[in-house]
Amino acid sequence: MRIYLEIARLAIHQQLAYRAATLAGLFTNSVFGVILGSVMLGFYGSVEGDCVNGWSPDDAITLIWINQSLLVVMYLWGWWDVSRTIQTGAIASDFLRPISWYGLWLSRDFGRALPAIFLRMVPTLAIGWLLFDISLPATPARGLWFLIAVILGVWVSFSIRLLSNLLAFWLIDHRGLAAVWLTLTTFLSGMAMPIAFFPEPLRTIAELLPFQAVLMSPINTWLGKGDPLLIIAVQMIWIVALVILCSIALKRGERRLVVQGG
Amino acid sequence: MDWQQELGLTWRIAKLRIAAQMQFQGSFLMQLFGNSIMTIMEIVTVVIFFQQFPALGGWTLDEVLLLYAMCAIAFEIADTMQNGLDLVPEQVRTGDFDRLLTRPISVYLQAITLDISVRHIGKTILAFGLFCWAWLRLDLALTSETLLLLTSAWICGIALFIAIFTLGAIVSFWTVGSIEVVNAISYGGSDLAQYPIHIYRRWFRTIFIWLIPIGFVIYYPTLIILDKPDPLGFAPIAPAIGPLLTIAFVALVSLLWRQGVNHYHSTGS
Amino acid sequence: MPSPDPIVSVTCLTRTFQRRRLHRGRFGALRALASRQSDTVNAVSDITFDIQPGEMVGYIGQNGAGKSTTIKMLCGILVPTSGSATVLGATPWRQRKQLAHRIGVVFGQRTQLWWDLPLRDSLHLLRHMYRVPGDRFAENLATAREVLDLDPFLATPVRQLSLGQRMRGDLAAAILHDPDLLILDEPTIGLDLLAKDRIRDFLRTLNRTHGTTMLLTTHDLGDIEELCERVMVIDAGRLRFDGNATALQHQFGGDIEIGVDVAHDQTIALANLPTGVTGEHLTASTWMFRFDRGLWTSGSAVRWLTTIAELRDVSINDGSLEQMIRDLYLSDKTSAHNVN
Repeated sequence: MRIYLEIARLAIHQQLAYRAATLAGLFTNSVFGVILGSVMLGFYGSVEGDCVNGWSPDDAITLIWINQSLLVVMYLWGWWDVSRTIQTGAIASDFLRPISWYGLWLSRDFGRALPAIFLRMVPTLAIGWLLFDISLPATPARGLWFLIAVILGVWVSFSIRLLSNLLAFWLIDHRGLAAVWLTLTTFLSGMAMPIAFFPEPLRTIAELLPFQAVLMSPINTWLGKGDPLLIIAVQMIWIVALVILCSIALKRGERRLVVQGG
Repeated sequence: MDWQQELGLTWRIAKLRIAAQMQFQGSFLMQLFGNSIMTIMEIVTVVIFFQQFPALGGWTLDEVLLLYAMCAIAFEIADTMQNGLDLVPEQVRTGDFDRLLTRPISVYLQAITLDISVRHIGKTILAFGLFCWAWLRLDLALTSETLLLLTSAWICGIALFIAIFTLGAIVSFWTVGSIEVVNAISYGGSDLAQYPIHIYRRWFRTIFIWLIPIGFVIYYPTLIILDKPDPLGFAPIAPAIGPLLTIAFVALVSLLWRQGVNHYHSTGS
Repeated sequence: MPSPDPIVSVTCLTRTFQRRRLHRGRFGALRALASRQSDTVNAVSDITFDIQPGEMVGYIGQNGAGKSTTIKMLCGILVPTSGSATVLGATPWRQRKQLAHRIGVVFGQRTQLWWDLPLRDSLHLLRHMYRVPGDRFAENLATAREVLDLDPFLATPVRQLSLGQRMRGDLAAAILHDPDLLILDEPTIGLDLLAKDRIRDFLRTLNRTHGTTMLLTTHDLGDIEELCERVMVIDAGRLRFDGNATALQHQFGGDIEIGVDVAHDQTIALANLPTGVTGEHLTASTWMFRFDRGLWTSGSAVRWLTTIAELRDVSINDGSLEQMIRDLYLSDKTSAHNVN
């Protein structure tokens, strides 16, 4: 266990070193928070009642800002570190290390995500609260559930990313895939609007996919939509399922690697 | 004269690089497709919004899509032309930027051709398609006035977006890890200009009307063509002031670029 | 030969950098986040030298000694903090573009070529960039193709070239416009012996036929031995030695050591060795010889050894630049401009 904590500690240090990048990132998140928030309010200005599919303007604005605040924490995009090790063949030596391959990457990812919670999520939410008066968790319990859901969300996000990285065993060039990937995850995770706004059957599909467990789960716990225990349970089920899928992909990929001689 | 020769050379570099890229057909097509799907999903998002809501700031779906296409055309063309600038921060960090300074032609033109990418072509074509579709749905007439408005909107829009991207390269002469700020302004700017600018709060839209005049350059020509009500009241002066502000912005950016290169000279890497 | 103006003239050139202070220990990263302290570092301090037309000068020193900084200033990439430099009659950082037409620059670790284009296209682009007349281009390209043996990879994209091939391509690119001065930063770094030979050959030819002046930094003693009569040594930003290369090597290079392994039935008599040679019998079939650098080169030593025995294996320790420079620092006799 110590070794994983140590890896995470190193990753945290790496994160803290980029002061300018942190400020720049907060700026970006805020700009997009303002744009998407304004668009959302602009749309709400055109309806008579207050709620659309059970979402009030306050709820929707809060979703926009939570999404911006979690963007870097979840890091759904542009993470192809593992696929790079597959392409260069470095993965073979990673397997030889005396520690768990999965544990190595997972602890690295948590080392990346944990400081982002303090450096990116909290300040972005504060800015959203100042500029758009987003609603805070109604009870301390909801805040706590939110934190748990965020941490589990990181794990789900990591597992999804790992699985897509492992596709590099079979694909030579993943840049096209990366672009499609970025788009689909953005959309299906509820980045631009609540999944509740989707027309059927898209809505049901989105609810049955793991992407909603990354962003929608924390948002729903924050806003008190649905039973937090159920939300957390669904996240955990996804983590287990994805770990199994990853290990299958890894075994097959490894065999392929051996056959091809790296 | 010197200047023309350098532009000719730039074009020559670009042509050769595009030709070299086309040789990896498979990956090229995949990228073209991958990038197009991004635009498609953005359009889908707008359409879904309009299934739940009747209008945005008084504009209908077709009107918003026309505005979206107006902006996307300028942005995608600019993005294709500026690709090399994306590499400047990395080149400055590693010191590879040095080599641009050992050559006898304009550093800016060299920077712009550091990477020529045709992967935005798919998006540009899509944006044009969307534009035509919305134009026909709205049953708009193509008069000499609208043609003038469109041309000036696109020329100014392209110049403006390239200038913003250049700003990103410029910042990197001073600080490492600055790329994100500029992404916020360039991608943010294009995202923002895809929607009617009057839906934003006063302080925010003021920046993007007067300082970085995307509002004047994209929103107002579209508003005039669509003959929509003008909540901000700048429509009478917009066609004249848009290009003027663009020229001012471009001039400012080129001045800053010079400063940036000088700063690089004086600090090294 | 008449004595025209020097090609390069450097006077009291100094360059300082600000370096961000690093924080160590617990919360070090957090403290770095909050503070903006920096230290001033002298990368190059107060160096003065001239280079005459046709000279080939080696510029050596450890990593971070100030070699690259000097070179960047001479190319016009970097502005000095103080002091002056004239290259081909121009001040590099003020007349960078004009100067670019007359100098050739090669950075061993960075290519000047377009990574995605075939070498041939890169060379053609550079021809247009430097406005090289057609006949000059044809002639220079022909020479480069012959001496550097470019033909096998002229049509290959630069990113697919091996390091040695790329370096040869870079050299060809640097001389297309007939530069009067060639500035080479580590031109043989990471190359195998064959590639090194080819490049040295090319540079020698160029110097002989065109009278091209050259300034080259290197870590390789072979480059100095084979190319440069004159050497400048820089350490911690200061010029510590400027003079004859053989004198430097003779003084600080130590002996050339050659170990040989001979066929079983052979033996070498250690009596009556030529002057400047000492020998030692190590094991049954191996001997170790030391050659005085003033009288021998590694080449002549090996040639002599082949005349006295049938060699199965030879290992040469010709001393390294690093060792030589270390010796130089340790000696008290050094000061700038001590020979010449």
